[in-house]
Amino acid sequence: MLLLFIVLPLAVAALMPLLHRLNRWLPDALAALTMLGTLLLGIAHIRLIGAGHIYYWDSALYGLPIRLSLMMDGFSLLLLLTISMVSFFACVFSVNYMEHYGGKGAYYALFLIMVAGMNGLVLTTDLFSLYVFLEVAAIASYALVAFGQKHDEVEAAFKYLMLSAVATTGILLATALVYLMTGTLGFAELAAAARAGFDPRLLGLLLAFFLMGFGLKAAIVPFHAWLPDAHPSAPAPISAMLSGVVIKVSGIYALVRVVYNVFGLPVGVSQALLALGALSMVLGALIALGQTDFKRMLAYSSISQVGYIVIGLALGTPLAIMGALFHLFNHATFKGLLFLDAGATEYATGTRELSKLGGINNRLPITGLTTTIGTFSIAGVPPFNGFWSKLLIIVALVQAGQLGLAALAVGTSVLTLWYFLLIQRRAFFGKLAAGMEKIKEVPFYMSFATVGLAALCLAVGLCYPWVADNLIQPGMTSLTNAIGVNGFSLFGN
Amino acid sequence: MDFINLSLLVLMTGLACAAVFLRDLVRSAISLALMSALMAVVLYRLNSPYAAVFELSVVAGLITVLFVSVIALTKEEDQVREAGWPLYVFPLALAAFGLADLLVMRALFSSYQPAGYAAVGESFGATLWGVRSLDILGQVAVIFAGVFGVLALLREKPQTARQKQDAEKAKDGGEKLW
Repeated sequence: MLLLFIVLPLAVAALMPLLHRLNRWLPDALAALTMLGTLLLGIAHIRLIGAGHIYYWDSALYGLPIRLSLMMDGFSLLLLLTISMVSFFACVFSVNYMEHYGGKGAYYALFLIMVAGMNGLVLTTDLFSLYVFLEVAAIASYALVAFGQKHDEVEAAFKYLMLSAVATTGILLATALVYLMTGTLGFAELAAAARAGFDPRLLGLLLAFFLMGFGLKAAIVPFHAWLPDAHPSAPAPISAMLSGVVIKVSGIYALVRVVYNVFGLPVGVSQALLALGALSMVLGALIALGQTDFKRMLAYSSISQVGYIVIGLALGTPLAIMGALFHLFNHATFKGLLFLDAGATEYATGTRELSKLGGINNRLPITGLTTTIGTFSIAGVPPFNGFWSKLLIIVALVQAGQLGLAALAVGTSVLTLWYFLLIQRRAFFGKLAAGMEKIKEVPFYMSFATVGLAALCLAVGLCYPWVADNLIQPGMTSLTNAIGVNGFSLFGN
Repeated sequence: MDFINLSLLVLMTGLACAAVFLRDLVRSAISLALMSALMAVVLYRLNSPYAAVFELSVVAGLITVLFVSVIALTKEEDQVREAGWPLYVFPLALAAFGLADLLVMRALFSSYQPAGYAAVGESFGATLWGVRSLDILGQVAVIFAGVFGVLALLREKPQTARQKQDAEKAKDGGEKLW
């Protein structure tokens, strides 16, 4: 069954050009259904993964002459659900939004390949396969960033490609070093070799390469230069995918899988990540404050929010890991929502320049409401989902005696609220801007996607105990087991 | 490292730099092909004959043919003039990187004994299909992504009223590249 997460999107992607010729709505329907299918497949695994099971799938069990080996634990499942959920809503949003771009067959094919790449990355048990699927997702995303064919979009995609090439060179070099030192590439075998001990100088070198490579993919400061161009330039559903899931899967997940499960979170890496996470959190928020382009502001905000996740994971206590994983999931929902809202605003008004917008809340009531929900969620206002995850990270920082970082996290949250309220005030409230008299609310499927994600932001906040126990805690347990720290239960089972 | 391998690596670096810096695209593509051919020789000398064959046939052969075909279809005036400063700064950066690389790698690996590699199969084919099957699936996905990427980026967009309106509004960098 685990193979379906990869093969299903890939098979549908291969059929897209044909489907597009048969019926113009078929790619829309099939892409959304495929994502819904993978989402339901993920949901079907929640109960057993929550009970502590780890799924293994090996082709040898079915007598196949090939060798495919996949694994799903709590951490993988959390990422798979996040990918499927954001992908589903992005697909639904694309039904109307991508209409004027043309080439929907190729668009959905690339979209599904990107999802297949991310699913493969999350399920693999092998370092080299992780690299291969990282490239699958990356190549599809370069083309998707440039999908609009305009000069600035192609330029942003080229910059993204070049910096990603630097990242993957670092990752490939580190993988080669690991293979040189151990003669194996499987995570389990590598972890056993790491426990036996590595040459400390070589270990330092390869960890530096991994940190640089995955850090670039996650857009952690100072490796973030590509993100503020690439994310705003892409079509809105792709921006939602890139900020919501791609940086987390290609950057955070891959880094954590390697650093936690193979190397057991060495102290040096933990300290480096704490420093880089704090830098990302603060700088991202400060730069976001000065932006006048709606999507560019959201892109800088992603750097800041990834900083929170990195800090929690770098701290390495069960509560911090729990907060970080929860924030990873929450950020995918509210940042996906906010990018879709930015796309809806641009679709309705023809601009995303905040200075040209104003007072559009009455004309776009659904987009206005869902943007407000996204704003409250990302700023950590209760009872929305962002509140809980930020609270967990801050409490974990205080518990670990990192009072300075805790104060920075609180301060950045206030900054976040500030710049998102600026968006609200400039774009949605106040006097109606000139030329906005005739605008009207976006079509049904776009509104359906934003309302769905907004409802999720509220529902996850209100049902926090269930989400924490069934989705986040199994992920946390996978990571605490990997670094030999005792986990805990917030609400019992 | 023996003298021949070192010479080959230096030549490869030179050809890679030429591929980046040459203004004539055909010469640039040929430099890349030559670099790739030398890479194949290095791979063969390092006891990786299958990797050498792939490098030679796919990169030096097939990709060069694709590059040269596309360049032949590109009009002269479509070529973009680039800034000249990297031509002066890059050699210094390359020399500094090469020196640092040499010192660090020599210090790290001069006395390092690589681990014995795990038994991975009876032959190249058995290894590829029997051990690295997931990578082949990934490779299929990469090829799909490449094909659909080209289809997407070279597509002709339908001229809708909405698009015309967008084109009028987009004054800053809004012109089509193709």
